[in-house]
Parts: sequence; structure tokens; C-alpha cells
Amino acid sequence: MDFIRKLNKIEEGVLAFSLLGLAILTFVETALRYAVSYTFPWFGEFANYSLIFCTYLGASIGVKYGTHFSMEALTEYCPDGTSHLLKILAYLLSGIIAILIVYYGTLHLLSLKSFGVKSSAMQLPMYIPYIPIPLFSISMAFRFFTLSFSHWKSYLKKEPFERVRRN
Amino acid sequence: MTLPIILICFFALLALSVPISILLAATTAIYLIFIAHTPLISLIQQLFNGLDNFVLLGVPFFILAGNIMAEGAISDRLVNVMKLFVGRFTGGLAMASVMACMFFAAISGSSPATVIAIGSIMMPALIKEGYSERFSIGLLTSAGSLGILIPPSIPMILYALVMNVSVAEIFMAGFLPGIFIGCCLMGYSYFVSDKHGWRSEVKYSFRDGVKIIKDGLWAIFLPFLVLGGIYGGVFTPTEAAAVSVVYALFVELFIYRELKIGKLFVICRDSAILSGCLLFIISCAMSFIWLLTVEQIPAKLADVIVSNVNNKWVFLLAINGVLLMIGGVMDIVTAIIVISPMLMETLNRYGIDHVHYGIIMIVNIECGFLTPPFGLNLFVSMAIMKRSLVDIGRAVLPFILIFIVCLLVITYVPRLSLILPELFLRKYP
Repeated sequence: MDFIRKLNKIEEGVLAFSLLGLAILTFVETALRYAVSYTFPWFGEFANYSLIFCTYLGASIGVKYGTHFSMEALTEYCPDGTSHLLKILAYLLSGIIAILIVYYGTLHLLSLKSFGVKSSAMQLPMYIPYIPIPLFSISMAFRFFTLSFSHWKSYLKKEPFERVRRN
Repeated sequence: MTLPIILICFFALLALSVPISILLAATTAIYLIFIAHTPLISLIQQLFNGLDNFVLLGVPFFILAGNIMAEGAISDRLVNVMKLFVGRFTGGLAMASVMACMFFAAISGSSPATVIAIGSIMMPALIKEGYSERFSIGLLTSAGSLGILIPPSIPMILYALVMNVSVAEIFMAGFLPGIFIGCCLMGYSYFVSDKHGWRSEVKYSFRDGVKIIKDGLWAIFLPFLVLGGIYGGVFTPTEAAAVSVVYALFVELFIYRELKIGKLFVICRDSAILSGCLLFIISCAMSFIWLLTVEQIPAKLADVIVSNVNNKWVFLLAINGVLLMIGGVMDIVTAIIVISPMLMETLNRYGIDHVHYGIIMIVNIECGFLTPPFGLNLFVSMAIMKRSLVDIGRAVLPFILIFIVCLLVITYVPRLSLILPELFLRKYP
């Protein structure tokens, strides 16, 4: 468990700094273009690919913090046990979808690699910007299954379901 | 046969409380496997292409800039300046709060950030001046939602992307409706304060005034930099977002020096997680929109709607009603991202301008932010004002009515939204 905790910390650090770094880089690019009419030829591509990286990393960590939006009307008004069951199923399905993304993402990555496609500006092999999609979907699936399991435990122990309306 | 299957999957997963992003990807996946018999690799391509867009980069930057300013001292200085201008009138402090929200809205693109920034400072101040707690909570929670109507605005960027309209145009279209709602809130504040005799006795000397303005100059300059930069053609909305991040960092770290580095890390992390979740929805929504287009669902939907609803005003009224109800069961921003592209063809047939429709959607989002139990602003207020959801929901009620009246005006007076973009951005031959 210690290893996972460390990994989580690293993940969050990388995420926070890549967003800040990207913002500063975009500012520098804008300032250079305005001041000396110089633009980095690789910038647009690099920024877009970094955004994809940040999005998938952030979305994966977001599962842990419960940041993902969902429609909670049923879980909110059902009895505790039913709400737990709904959540178990919902997170299980979400985990399965994430695994599908991992599987087909990897297939797509491999086929791009074998074709040797390159990006137009950076001449970067096209499979590299795709990596975050299957990679972070692994941890996303893992987190969805963990959530599903913890609702299962709460269901067995007949613990109350945490609702938005309470407080 | 396709449409019922897609609809059943969609609503079954929605009811199960599957995250919206996953729900959109799942529906697309089910369609690809069982109906189109296409390998799922095309889903991965759509997930990638949905995000491969420079415009989207503005979203995390505006979230980050808004959070830095909300936690730091910029909002504090802004409030002081507004107090200086309108504080001495009847209901002055309440009106200063609304003005501060409007001004903060012009530098940040998010509603919750505006509530945190202005609400956490003004709430104690209002109560100390003798304003009732219920009025203060309601006012600050609802005025904060101007954050997304007055440009820049994060939901507007998302709308512009899914509906293929120009970000600069929809930003500009939000100005007058935003000022209009702000004025309505200020009018209501004056009316209520006059009834209860709420007014402040504070007088500022000339020297105090100069000091407050000098102190607030860094905060006041930012909207002119961001919006002036966009409309002066110096930079794009995305670059403007990056400029406001760096500007906010610079001012907070080197001028006001109240932001701690440790806090900055937490702000960056939380902003990145929030924008990750939001953009993941976009990534999945773009694949879902692609599916809608392939199946020509917007056109089929348009046939049904246009043959049953005979004029566009009834249609718009119905949409507003439906969205108010949806706001009561789920997050309204995601709802609009999914619903708007479905209605694209219908809008074309009624001849409704996509930018005007976008503004209507944004005002609907504002109402959705205020309706319990899922209104985002309510949660923020719960956290900073330490009251229950029921109390805050009750306090916000009269303000929701004001927003609904404003929504109707904005819906039925398209000129209010469209006059600025028509004058400055759209060139007619």
C-alpha cells in the first residue's frame, strides 16, 4: 500500500506542475510572438498533446476525489441499500468501460507504431501522444473497481449511503 | 431501430448514476459494437480528436487563474474599490458586492470561483453592517453566477466547441446580458435595503480613496488586459487565459505577497483535477456527437420538433422549462454540452442564432447553479458560509425568480445578446 500511496503523490505532483508549466509556456510563446514575432513551430502540437496528458491524468485522479459529474437523482432518493447497489453496478460498468479503453487504446497505439505515422510539426511518432489514454485508463479502472468494492462492503455492513442533501 | 437502442442505453446508464463522461463513451461503444459492427479503435480516435484542439486549453487555464485570484488578495482589493464607489448609498454594500462579482466575472470564467472570491469576503461584511443573513447569502450565491455570463467564461468555451461557433463572438455576446442581470440584482438590493433601512455611515477621506484605488490598480487592470487583448487582436482567448494565469501569479506572489507556495500547489492540483474531469467529458462527448451526426439524429429530432411545435418562441420557452427541470437532477453544464448538439439542426430550421442560443444556455446554467439539490454555487456557499443546503436553497429562492425573469427577457430580446457581436465582429456586405 505504501507504494501506491507514493505513486499517488507523484501523480498529483506531476499533474499540478504540468498544468502550471503549460500555462507559463503558453504565456512565453504569446509574449515572444507579440514582442519579436517569433513562434515555436512545435508549440501548438506540444500544447495539445500535453492537454491530453493532463486531462487523462486529471480524470483518473478525479475518480478518487469524486470530482466526476453524474446524475444522482435515483441514488439520492432510494433507500440506503438500493443506492449502494446502484453505485456498485455503476462503478463496475465504469471500470469495464475503462478497461475497454485500455485494451483498444493499446491496440490502436501498436498499429500506429507499426505504421510509423509521425506528427506534422514535431515529427513525433504519433503513438506517443496516444499513450496517456490507455495508460491512465488503467489507474482509472482500478479506482472505479475500488469504489465499487467499497460500496459493496458498505452494503454488507448496512452502512448509510452518503447523500448530497445531508449536512 | 438504432435510435431506441441508443436512447435506452443512455437513460439506463444515466439513472444508474454512471459518470456522464463514461456514459457517453459507453453509449458510443455499444453503438459501435452492436449496431455499426465497427472495431472500437475508432472510439479511441474520437476520444483523442475531441481533445486535440487549442481552444480547449483555455479551460484549465481559466480555472487555474480563477482559483489563484479567489484564494489570493486580488478579490479583496477589488471589493475595497467597489465599496469606495457605491458604499455610501442605501444598500451600498450589497450593490458593491454585485459590482465586485461583475468585475471579478470579467477576469475569471467560473461561477464557483466568483462565489468563493467575493462571497467569503463580503458575507461577514454584510452581516456586520446589519443586512439580514438570508438576504446576504442569497445575494452572494446568486451574484457569483454572473462569473460565467460576463466574459471570459469556461462554459462558453465548451459550448463554442461543441456548437462550432467563435469563442470571441459568444464572449462578446455575454456582456450586455451580464450587465443587465447585474443591474437587476442591484435594483433588487436597493429595493430591499430601502425597505429595511440598510445603509452604511462610512465616509472615505480623499487620501483614503487615492490609497484604495492605488492598491486596487493591479486588480482593476486585469479585465482590460484580458478582454482588450482578445478584442484588440493581440491574442486568442486561450492565450488570454494563459496571460491571466501568469498575471495573477505575478500579482499575488510579488505585489500583494499573501499567497503561500504550499497553497499554490494545492490550487494547481485541484484546478487540474477539475479541468481533467470536465475535459474528459468533452473528450467522450465529442465521440458521442460524432455518433449523433453519423446517425443523423439531430435532423430526425428536428423533423419531430418542427412538425409539432409551430413557432420558435414556444420552442425556446419549452427548452428553458426543460432545462430548469434538468438543473434539478444533474449538473447543468454537462447537460447542455450533450443536448445542444442534438438540437443544432432544429435551431437552424427555426432560424435561431447559435450565439444567441448559447447565451440562453449560459443563463440556464446560471439558474441551474442555483437550484437545489445539485446547484454548484449552493455547495460552494455551504462550504464558505457554514449553513445547510436547505437554508441556502431558501435564501436563494427570490434570486432564482429574478434570474428566471431575466432569462425570459434575454430569450425574447435577441438584440440584447447579438448587438455587440453584430456591431464589432460580424461584417455584412
